[in-house]
Amino acid sequence: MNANPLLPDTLFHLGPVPIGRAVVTTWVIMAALALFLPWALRNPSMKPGAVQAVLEIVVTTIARQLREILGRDPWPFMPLLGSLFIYLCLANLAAVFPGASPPTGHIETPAALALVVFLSVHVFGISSRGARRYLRHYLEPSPLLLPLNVLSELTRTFSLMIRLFGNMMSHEFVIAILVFLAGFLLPVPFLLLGIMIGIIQAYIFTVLSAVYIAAAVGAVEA
Amino acid sequence: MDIAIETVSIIAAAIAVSFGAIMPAFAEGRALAAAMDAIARQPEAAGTISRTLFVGLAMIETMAIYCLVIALLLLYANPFVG
Amino acid sequence: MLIDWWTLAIQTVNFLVVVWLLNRFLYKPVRRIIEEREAADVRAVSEAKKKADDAEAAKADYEQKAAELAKSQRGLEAELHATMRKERDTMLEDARQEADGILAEARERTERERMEALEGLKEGIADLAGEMARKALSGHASNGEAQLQQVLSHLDGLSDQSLSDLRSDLEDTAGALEIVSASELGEAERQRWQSALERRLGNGARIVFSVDPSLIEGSELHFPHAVLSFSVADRLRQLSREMKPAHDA
Repeated sequence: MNANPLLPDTLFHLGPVPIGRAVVTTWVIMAALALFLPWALRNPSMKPGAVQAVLEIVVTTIARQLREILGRDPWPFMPLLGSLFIYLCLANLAAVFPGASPPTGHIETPAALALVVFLSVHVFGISSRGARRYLRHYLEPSPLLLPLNVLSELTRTFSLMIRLFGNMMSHEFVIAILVFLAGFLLPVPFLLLGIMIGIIQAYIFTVLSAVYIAAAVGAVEA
Repeated sequence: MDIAIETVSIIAAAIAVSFGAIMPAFAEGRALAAAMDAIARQPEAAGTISRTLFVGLAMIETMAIYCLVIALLLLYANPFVG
Repeated sequence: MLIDWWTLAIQTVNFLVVVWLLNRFLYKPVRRIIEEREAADVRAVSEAKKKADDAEAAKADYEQKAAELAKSQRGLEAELHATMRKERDTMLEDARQEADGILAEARERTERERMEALEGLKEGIADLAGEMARKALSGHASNGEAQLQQVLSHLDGLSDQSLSDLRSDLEDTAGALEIVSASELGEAERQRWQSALERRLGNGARIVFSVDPSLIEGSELHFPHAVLSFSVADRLRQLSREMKPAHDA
């Protein structure tokens, strides 16, 4: 019970760079995607097989949800938001593999994702509305609210990070406590609950990112 | 001195988790009641309602998670200890 | 510090690599497939629409041809009807003319036959009249003496019964015996008539004489209830009465 869930667990060092468990898990996920996707879509056809049909359903479902949130063509935002969802699902479900732990259970991965989202919100906003008009929306409805607008910009990113990290970490922690107390079989329902929590958190992270981007590109007010 | 800070940190962590459990539990109960009421009125919308309910419960639970994170910080990463 | 900045940087790069991977190997192929499928759908829809249009055009063409066919058929029928009517009229006209000819001929023949029959009839009538005159005049006494002889021979020829009937007729009624002659009798002739009749009919008979030219020739004895006629007119009347039934038939 001495395991500190807040500390990074470094596996080995690559020169001066410490390589954590989260990084290795992410590399495994990347390798799996890099091997599986070209194989599954090696010759995409008009009449899809089972694997291609599943992939098409996943992609079109994400695109439809994003279209509802963004209110415009979702394809320019698909690489970022769709990848967020797919990567978070895979990362959060890493807990079902023995010996693996979700990369999102440590603060660095959610922080990295939140940072990417934070930057891409501004990139999308400027590219779609122009720099002046995008920056002016921080002065609305009144220039007096500029500090509050900037603060909310920072805190919502921070809350995005902490939400994902806290959920996954606390779940991992709860399971660790249960294993410490009961050992065998009792954590199984909590593992199933963990699958649901992982998918829901991936969905929430993606939807909130989409809402922030939609506000930045002027689709909705948020 | 360290002992006192650690004692206070543990008490604070317990209080944070307590309140962080009470109010989200209350909120989740209300949300669940409202969702069941809505499903009883409109059974055909049960799918949409339950999906929204799960997302909402997760958002509410995030508040409890925040409290838990604070408690864990106090317990394991207390900046005032060592 | 809790956060390992190296890990944060590596995870950021890792996530960007994941974005590139998914974009390269998932989104682009799937999007291309979906767009191809939509294009194929649009193409199929347009082809189906084209086929429907073709079918529509073929149908319209067929309907137009059917209408033309029906129209020409109607024209032919009308022509046929007209021809038939004309032929019928011609035939009727011919038949009427023929019938008129036959009728005229029949009328003419009837007229001719009637004329012939009339001619024959006239000849028959002439013959008959001649015969009648010959019969009426044959054996007829022309002068008064002969007339008397004729009357007397007739009276003598009567049976006793008849004679007595005549006699009693004259006596009972105290009537007169009227002797009608066509021409005026002389005194001597009257004496002879009276004596000769008294001898046969009794003395008490009153005898008067009268003249009637319509008798033509001869005489009649008018008893109160009987007439004995010896005149040509009477003979002619009898002859014509005999001929009448034959004439009627």
